[in-house]
Amino acid sequence: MHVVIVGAGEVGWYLAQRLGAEGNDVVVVEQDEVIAAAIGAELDVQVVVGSATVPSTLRSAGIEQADLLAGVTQNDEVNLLASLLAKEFGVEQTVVRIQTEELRGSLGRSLLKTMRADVIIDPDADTADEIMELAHVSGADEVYPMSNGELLVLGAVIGESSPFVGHDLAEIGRSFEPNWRFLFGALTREGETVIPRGDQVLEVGDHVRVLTTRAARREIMELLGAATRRARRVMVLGGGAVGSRVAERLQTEGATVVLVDNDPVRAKALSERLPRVTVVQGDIADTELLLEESVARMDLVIAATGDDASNVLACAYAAAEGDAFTVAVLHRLALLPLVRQFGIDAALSPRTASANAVLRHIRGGTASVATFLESDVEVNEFEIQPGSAAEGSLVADLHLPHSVLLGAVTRPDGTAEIVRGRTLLNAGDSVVVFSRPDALAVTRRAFSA
Amino acid sequence: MTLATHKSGRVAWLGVRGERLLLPGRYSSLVANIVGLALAVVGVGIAVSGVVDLIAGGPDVWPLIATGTLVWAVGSVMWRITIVPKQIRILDVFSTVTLAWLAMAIAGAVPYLLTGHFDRIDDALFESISGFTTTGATVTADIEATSQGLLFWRSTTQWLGGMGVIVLVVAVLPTVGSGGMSLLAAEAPGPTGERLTPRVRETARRLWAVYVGFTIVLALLYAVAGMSLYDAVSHSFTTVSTGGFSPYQDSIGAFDSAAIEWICIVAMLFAGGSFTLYYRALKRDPKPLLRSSEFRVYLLVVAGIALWAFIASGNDGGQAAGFRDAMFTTVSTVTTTGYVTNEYGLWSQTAQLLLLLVMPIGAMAGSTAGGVKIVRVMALASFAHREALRHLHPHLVRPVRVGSGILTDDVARKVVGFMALALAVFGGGAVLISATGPDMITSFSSSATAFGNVGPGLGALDHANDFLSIPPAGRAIAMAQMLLGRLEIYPVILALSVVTLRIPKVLRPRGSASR
Repeated sequence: MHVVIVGAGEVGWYLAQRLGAEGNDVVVVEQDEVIAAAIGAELDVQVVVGSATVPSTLRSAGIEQADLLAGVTQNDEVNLLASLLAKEFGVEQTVVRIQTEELRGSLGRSLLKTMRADVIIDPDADTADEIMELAHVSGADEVYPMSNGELLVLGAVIGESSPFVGHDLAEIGRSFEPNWRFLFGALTREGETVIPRGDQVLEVGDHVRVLTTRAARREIMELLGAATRRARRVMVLGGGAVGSRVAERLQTEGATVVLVDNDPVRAKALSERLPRVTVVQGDIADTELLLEESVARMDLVIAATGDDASNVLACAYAAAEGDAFTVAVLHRLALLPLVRQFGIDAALSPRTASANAVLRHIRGGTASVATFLESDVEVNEFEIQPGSAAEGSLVADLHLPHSVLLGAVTRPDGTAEIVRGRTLLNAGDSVVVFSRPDALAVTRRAFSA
Repeated sequence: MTLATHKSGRVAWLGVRGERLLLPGRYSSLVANIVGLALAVVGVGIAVSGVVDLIAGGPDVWPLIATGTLVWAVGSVMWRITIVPKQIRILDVFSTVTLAWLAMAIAGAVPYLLTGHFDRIDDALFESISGFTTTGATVTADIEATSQGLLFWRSTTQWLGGMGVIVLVVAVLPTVGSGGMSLLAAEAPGPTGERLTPRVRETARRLWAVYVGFTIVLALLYAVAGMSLYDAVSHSFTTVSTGGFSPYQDSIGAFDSAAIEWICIVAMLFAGGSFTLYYRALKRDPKPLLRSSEFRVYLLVVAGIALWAFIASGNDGGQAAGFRDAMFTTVSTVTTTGYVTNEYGLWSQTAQLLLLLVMPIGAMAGSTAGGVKIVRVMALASFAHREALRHLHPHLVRPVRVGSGILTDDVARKVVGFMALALAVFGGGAVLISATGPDMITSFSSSATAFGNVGPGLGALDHANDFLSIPPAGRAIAMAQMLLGRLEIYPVILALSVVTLRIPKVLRPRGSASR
């Protein structure tokens, strides 16, 4: 597949990396020569320097042969115009990043229909969604809804109180017969991520990703020894597109929210827009201010400014002063392995949130996609097509490779269950699969005709 | 703000170009033009009252018609020989509005003197100011002995003062330039002068149109309910303006009719609401009215007090009021109308105290009611809430809100400043009045009723609605309070500062600040 990515910002960079790794031909169009040189040096992609609003630039990016164009610059207008031009050049699919909130309503939808854009993404809105999922599952550091939200992939660190510590997965599985409500999909220990097998022994400090039904999420978190208090008192640091959305939603859900922003003008606008949120103006790295707003008594602290260092510092301080669950938004992925050392419970990046939406679309057959920040294990959802190898087959008989783990199946009536070797698959079911990207093609073949 | 100087280098006195005084042609003067037009309107009103007296066969035909013609003539000449300056300065606006009101009050007092109704100038002035400010307090001992023409004039002063003569003047002026809206805002009750249309003159016209329409409808309703045409018009005038004058000693109670009282209750409630919002509602846009949090609080205050008066039998032998009486007196007080139908002095002390408290507050901004307006109290409450929260969150950012609306810091500051001034005028007035003799309750309630433009009070002012029990010095203070209340303080004190600013330098004590 020939893919043109417009804008080598956070989202563009991550997309280029992900799509390149899957064997696509990726061309990045970037206006800034320094950034263009940097991405060209780091990733195996072609780089064209120039504006994507100029047809000749797009031509030199090979737009005529492209199957997909993703307009993911910071600028809505550039993204929209690039998408329009791409359609003129006969590109089949376009992805447009739109940040203006008003363009995402019904007016926006009809406008995009007119423009024939296929997917709209907004990294900030997607990040806010992810943070809200985290707030709803107290203690989880990753939450990815699958199968329309019926199933969840929860990430958590195994705590000392967990009854699982010292047992292998086969033992744990036996103690929950006959029906499993959860399944270990991936395990990270000392920076190594594996898809665990029955002989895997769990230890305190292991980071696990567990597939479970939404209803059982609380119970699972307790079993993992990672559950924390419900988020009733929340501090949101940074009132940008992410922070303000999160504050607004938490407030409507009944939480007491303190929102800190350093810009007096923005703080004023926020205080007018969010009547029940306590808006405070000040530097989020100012410990006096954080103490003044009783950071020690918070259940949840979310740092969502544009500055990674401030986010990490503020969360580290909150973790040291109290026992709040801390969430930091990070823009530089390289920092991610470090954050747990600072006592930060969860970190997420706007780029992965949106990249997941794009990947989902590109891969066609999949309904949901989750890619994780620190590892290359992915979660994909496939629909079983009539005439495929999986139709009418038992899971055990599919003989999937070891780097693939079939996790759950959702029946056409909407009920979801964790799969066992004896589970029968039918056409029309959708399955959730943990896998490495290189095994993706094999996996897809098993479910399509 | 800088004072504009003219070619001669002299500071213009209230906008009159001194060097052109002796030249033919029109003089550019805002104050003379507006005061002239206001006087002309007042003159017509007096003359019409003369005609009413003629029809009623009363004794005051000629004094009224003569005064009216004279006032009209003086006003017309002032108006004719001047034009409104192209540039209106804000200081001129305040002095113009204040001077226009003083001129109207003085001109309106003349008929009381010429007909022999009052002997004393200050009594005549009190009655006139009480009329124009829609207060409705009186120093007339025997109302029924007064001629119908003069009583009609008395009611007319309230009708003119209700929506405001300046608003009327702006409505008829052919051209008002950039400062027109500030003229309107200086007279209109409430913290914000809101434009209904892009043109100021249209806004003023529409406000008056709603007002006149309401007056006519109400007069018809009164007539249908059994009033004579004369009574219907008189009472309609003083109901829509929330004035409260009545040609009868027993006020609306004189009719002893449940129908009339209920019509009056609804009409007073209506008059206590925002005319700006009514205009919108009439134009099929009722949302601003229905969503107005001030409107809801207004209705809640009325319902709460009336309910308390109705159910509480009192803690000192006071009695629960009948339902209609409770409603009538509460609405009459909250809307600062001041009609009386019953002995509310016998109600429970709490109910009376509630009435006393709402007197200086009044009803909605943009209504014809007096007082500081509910919206300002709501803003002040929000302000106080914010300052209390700031102790918990020293870096808190929070706007001052009225319902879901947001007041800019600028407006919020003005509101707080205004409320502080209002408290000073209200409290200081009470102390000064009591220094002239009356007891505590009487002094306090006369201050409240005068500043709130209500009319009746408690103590010695109870139900008889008269200020006769207050000594002349106390009445003089009440007169000042009535004007300060109606014009909402700022125009009056700013006008005073303009006058001091313009005292020629030689007359000022040495070393005093020149600006």
